[in-house]
Amino acid sequence: MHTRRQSRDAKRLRSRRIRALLAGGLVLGVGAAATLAAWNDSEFGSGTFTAGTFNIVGATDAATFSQHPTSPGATLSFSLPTTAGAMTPGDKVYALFSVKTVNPSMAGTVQLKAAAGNGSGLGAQLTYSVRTVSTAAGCSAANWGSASVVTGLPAAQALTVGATTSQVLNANGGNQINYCFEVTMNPAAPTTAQGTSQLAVWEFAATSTP
Amino acid sequence: MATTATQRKVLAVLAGGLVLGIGTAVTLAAWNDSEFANGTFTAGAFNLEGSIDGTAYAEHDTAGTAADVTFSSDFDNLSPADVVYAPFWVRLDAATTTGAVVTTSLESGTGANAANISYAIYAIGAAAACDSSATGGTLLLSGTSLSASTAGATFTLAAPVDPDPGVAQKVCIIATAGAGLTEGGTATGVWEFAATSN
Repeated sequence: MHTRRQSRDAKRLRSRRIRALLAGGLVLGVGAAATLAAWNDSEFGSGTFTAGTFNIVGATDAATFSQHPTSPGATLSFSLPTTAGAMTPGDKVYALFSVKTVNPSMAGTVQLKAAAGNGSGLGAQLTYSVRTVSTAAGCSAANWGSASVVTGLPAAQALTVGATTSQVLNANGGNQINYCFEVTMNPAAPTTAQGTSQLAVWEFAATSTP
Repeated sequence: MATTATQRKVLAVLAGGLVLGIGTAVTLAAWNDSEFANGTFTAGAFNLEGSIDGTAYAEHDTAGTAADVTFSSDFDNLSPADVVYAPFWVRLDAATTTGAVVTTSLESGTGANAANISYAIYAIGAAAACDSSATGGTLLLSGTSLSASTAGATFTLAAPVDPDPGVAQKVCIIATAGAGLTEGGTATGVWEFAATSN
């Protein structure tokens, strides 16, 4: 039998235990707070992202390259077999144009395009062919036969017709394409063509290869 | 459960397709750069002119405007077996930009005595006389009458050196009256010197 006193003592004991537990919990909470207040140290990593460049240059002598980004661009050195500056029916003239990428530059492809206005004036009496040569000296009447025929560049086209395929340009000026132009005056050009002239413009349109 | 697996597969395929789509877009977004080059083409000029005295040159580019060459004396009072001589000069004018090959031909022979005049045309040196010695030159054309012709050689003219006209070629036309010459009858011969650029 529990006496009233015993009952009261039992209540006090339980109360004490609860308070002890709470106190213990408080201590644990303080301990956890102390753990959060530790030192911090971090490491960082970074990456800089830079876009690549793509740029091609051209030369009329296979050696001295520079930028010709707008029409009419570089003036080709067409070598006339007779009096300078004048063609007669059947004449063939030759000129070189070389393209390559700069260093640094991405790789790409290049396609020959012809300006639509090339066919007016004397242009109507002219046709052209383009082959590739390994050296500047290879671009001449004497060496035309041994120049390389390029796929997509059919022979004897009107001055307004461009190429149907492109050529590969390696990165960083890794290769140089020497295009040799042969322009022929129509052997049956009428007398009325005498003294006329025409500026013909060609574009070497290059596209970067991802 | 089967339905959930199917949905996952569909989603995976869609995701794969999306990745491919992005890859394609990147390929199209390449950079471009162009080089331009040009050439100016000019046709030359070409013009042959003639002279009857080797000094004053002019155009005689149709048969109707042919130069009247000056024959040696008595060309207007011929008798059978008479021979007369006339010089003519042709050259390329100063504006011409190319050389030429010249072909001589008979344009026409008219008049009562056309059948009774034989002729021969020779290319001769600039200093050579147009007389009986001209037969030492290069025969360009000959005919037994003014309606007959036998082709001879052609001659070339070099391209003029700016600013001067080209070097002239002197020719000598020799006409001989035949035995059947009709008294009082006339005859007119027209010859063409046709230049072709070369």
